[in-house]
Amino acid sequence: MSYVAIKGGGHAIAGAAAVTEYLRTEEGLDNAGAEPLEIDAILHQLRHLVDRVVSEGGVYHPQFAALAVKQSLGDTLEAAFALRAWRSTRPRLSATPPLNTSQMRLIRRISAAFKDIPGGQMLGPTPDYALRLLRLDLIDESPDAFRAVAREWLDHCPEPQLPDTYPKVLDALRAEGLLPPATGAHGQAAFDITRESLVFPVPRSATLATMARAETGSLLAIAYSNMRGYGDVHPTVAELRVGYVPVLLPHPVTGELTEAGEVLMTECEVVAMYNVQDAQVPRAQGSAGAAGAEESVSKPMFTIGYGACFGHNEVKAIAMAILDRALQKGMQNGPENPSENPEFVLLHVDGVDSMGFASHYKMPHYVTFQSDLDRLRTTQQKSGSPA
Amino acid sequence: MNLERKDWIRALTAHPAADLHALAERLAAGCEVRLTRLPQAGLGLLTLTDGAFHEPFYLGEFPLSSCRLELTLADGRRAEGGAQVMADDAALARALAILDAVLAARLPGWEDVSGQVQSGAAQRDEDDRRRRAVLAATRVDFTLLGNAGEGENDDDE
Amino acid sequence: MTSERIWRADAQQRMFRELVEAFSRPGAVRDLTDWLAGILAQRAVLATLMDGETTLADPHARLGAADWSLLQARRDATETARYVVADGRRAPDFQPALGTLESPESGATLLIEVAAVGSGPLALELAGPGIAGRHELRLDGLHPAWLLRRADWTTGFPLGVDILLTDAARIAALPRTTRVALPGNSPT
Repeated sequence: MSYVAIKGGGHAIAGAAAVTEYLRTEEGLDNAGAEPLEIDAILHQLRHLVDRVVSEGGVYHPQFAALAVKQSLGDTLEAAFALRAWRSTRPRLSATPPLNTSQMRLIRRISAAFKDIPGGQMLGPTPDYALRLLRLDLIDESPDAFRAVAREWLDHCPEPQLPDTYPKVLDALRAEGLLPPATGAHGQAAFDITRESLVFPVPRSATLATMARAETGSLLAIAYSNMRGYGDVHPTVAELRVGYVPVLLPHPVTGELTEAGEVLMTECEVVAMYNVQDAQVPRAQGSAGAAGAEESVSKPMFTIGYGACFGHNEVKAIAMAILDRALQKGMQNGPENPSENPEFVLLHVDGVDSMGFASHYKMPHYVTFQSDLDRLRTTQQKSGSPA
Repeated sequence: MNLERKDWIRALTAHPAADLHALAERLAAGCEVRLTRLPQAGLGLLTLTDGAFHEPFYLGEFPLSSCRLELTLADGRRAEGGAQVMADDAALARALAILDAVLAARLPGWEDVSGQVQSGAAQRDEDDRRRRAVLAATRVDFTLLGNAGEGENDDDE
Repeated sequence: MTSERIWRADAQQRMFRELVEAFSRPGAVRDLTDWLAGILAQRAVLATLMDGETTLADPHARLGAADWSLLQARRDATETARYVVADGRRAPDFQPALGTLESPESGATLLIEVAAVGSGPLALELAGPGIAGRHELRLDGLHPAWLLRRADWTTGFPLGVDILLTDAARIAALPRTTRVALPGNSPT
């Protein structure tokens, strides 16, 4: 049995591309009113699709994300793959200094922990309180009515009297001594997952960067396992904020930090109930009898988790925050559940990795499968012949 | 309104890139432009401080173009300019660097650049105002619940 | 206006192609006279290979401040830099990075300028991958210490250094896989 090259593949592959393009444009058959999908329309009317692709693609380029959505016919895995492929062709020019979200131009900020957070709670655009009823009126939306809605809203919205920046809820809790201290930078550069591969154990900066560009569904599924019972916490969302963060880079001449642009992002901090094991200092472990003196070293405190990603993706940010907290626990005490195991979580949440692996099974495996067949037939003959 | 140099890029990029190119070409027409750092389009890495432990990590990448140059006028006057802009457009970085140099050194035509900065800043202010309107329109007023005579903690678990 | 064409993408792609060819056929001399139009070959190579993520050492101070700014390469010590630009007329007085067994590709690439590539009194006999049998490369202005040091640096293959020799307008490569001998001694 030998590998046989066939000659029709090239034509079939070109044909497949043409057929896909035919399906994309089929609406135009005998339809003078058919219009190609405008990138601007995707950016605005399918904004959460774009949010998802910039986040999973790992590069904040909304226009190209919208283009990727268009060319992949709305397949988010393919679109994120195309965006990743594009970014791999670009040189790295620089990195920002560590920025924080205190300067974020907010469009949404809530807390499930306190009603009266300093600065107040603003729901912003959210479906959280909407009835999940189909809006049948959108099936045949009048363009004129469509164009009038935003203007009308702007004309009637209140003149805002609001602060420009909002303090973080966690900082207030920390000031009261309820949270572990902020460890800060400890002089280490952040781990760059685009240049180095993960070799476990990895620093937390690698964990956060990997989850920030993870596939939403994968991250959610593993976080959900932790929420449902393969984990130990009911977290509380201390703060969830969505808004535009100014991207600051040194001015080439003056060196002064200058705003080069802004990125839309979602950020979430969760607080989980104090857990005795979590709070123990490592050297107290395994010395239960004599632990009395040592245990008093550590004060009981909340445990905390952090999630953040490009775009407006709240479920992803919450899932990430829960997993960050679960992985901290796993690193400290050893994983008791899959969601607490860094290797299990971080190696299985990337969309391009996992969809690539699943897709590669569609590629010809004629030789390896032939080998499987041979072995199976041989085994069957050997086990069958004596009877 | 006198914007600092660090705010010029945000203001200027409120305008279409084509307008910025046209203005930069016009102002640089009589000057010698010497590139000290080539116009380049690539990616920047966004470093964020995490909200739980304040550790830096990389949130992801963004398109970035940069340029640095020196303008020399016929009368010998010189000005340095530079730009880093979130765009996949090296020519835009070059145009912004020219505008930066002209405005910083008040070379001929700086009033036009200043005008563009002012009008761009006004557009950005309007964007910010709309975002604040989103917040103002959806602000939750918890005090109302208590004043309406309902139980103080009945709205939440 | 900085209009030297070595900074343009099309020129750099052409140069990159030349480098691929040169390293594929060790010792083969590629003459870029017509194309470089007076620009030093070493400078064109640097313009092609450097960006903000590469590290470069310049032990013989061959680059001016303006070039550093344009190349955007990060300045690094000779012992650790991924690229070292050197004057071949001077004896090497440094130990370049040879890479590690896990990451042999992190061995340095040395860009060495000599008086002439493809002609001159020094005749090297080359053998190894990319060379059919034996190949003679003639050079002028290479300090003999370079060949002795190179022999040391490349003994622990896959560790080693890759060398690109340039004169004003010609280039030739000596990757770490190439065995070099002076005439009379067979390449080992």
